[in-house]
Amino acid sequence: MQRVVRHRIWVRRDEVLDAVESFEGTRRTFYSYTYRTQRKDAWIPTVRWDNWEGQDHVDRYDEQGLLRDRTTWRERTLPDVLKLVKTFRRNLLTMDLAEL
Amino acid sequence: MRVEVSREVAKADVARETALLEARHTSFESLRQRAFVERCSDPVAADDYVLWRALREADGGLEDRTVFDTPDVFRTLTPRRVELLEFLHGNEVASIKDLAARLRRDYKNTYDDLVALEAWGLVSLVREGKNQRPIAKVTSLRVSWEK
Repeated sequence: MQRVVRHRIWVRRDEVLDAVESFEGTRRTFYSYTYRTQRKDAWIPTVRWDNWEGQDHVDRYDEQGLLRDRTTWRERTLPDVLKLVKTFRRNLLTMDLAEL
Repeated sequence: MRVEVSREVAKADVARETALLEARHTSFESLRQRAFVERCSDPVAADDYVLWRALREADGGLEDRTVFDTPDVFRTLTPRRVELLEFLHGNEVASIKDLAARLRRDYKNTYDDLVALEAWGLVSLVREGKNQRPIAKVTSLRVSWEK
């Protein structure tokens, strides 16, 4: 049985962290944490951590929401990622994410 | 400080979610294709694929949670708007005009309040013909402080 938990965490009025986690029983099989910023009426992805196809990685997007770069990353929990987002916010775009 | 909002996902919500996914991706098969082949250019595809796969399962489930990790939301949660949210939680309305009439409130003020609540994802305004039908996205609201 697949159970999906979807979170939207508002960090500011125009900044959110969207989380999607999928569980089989108690085992987490998928996670994605997407930090989005609002431009006009659209929520543009800025940084995204996920384990799609079983690989933990972090993606960075440009101002149009197009993939800019990708680095490997170790698995973290939602509270950890929220802490990063709240601490660094838009500065995440210029930081070495693999080191965080 | 955290304001946590929960929404029970009922059968009608599952049908609505599925309709939204169909509108975005046409079919589950085409989404699967996109998620595995073109995923790099679309961060939404993987999330939607995981969600749709769970919704298709007979015993699959979805939980929706919204957390406001900022006190700014209290600028929006005025007593009138909280009352409006509470009414929408317990009652279905056909349109904004219907809601205003049932609350005995002015149409424009009701509309302005709904737009303010929609900006924080607390209600959604679903277009149905000429009308916009307000739907509460909240079934409970809890305020807490973390140590």
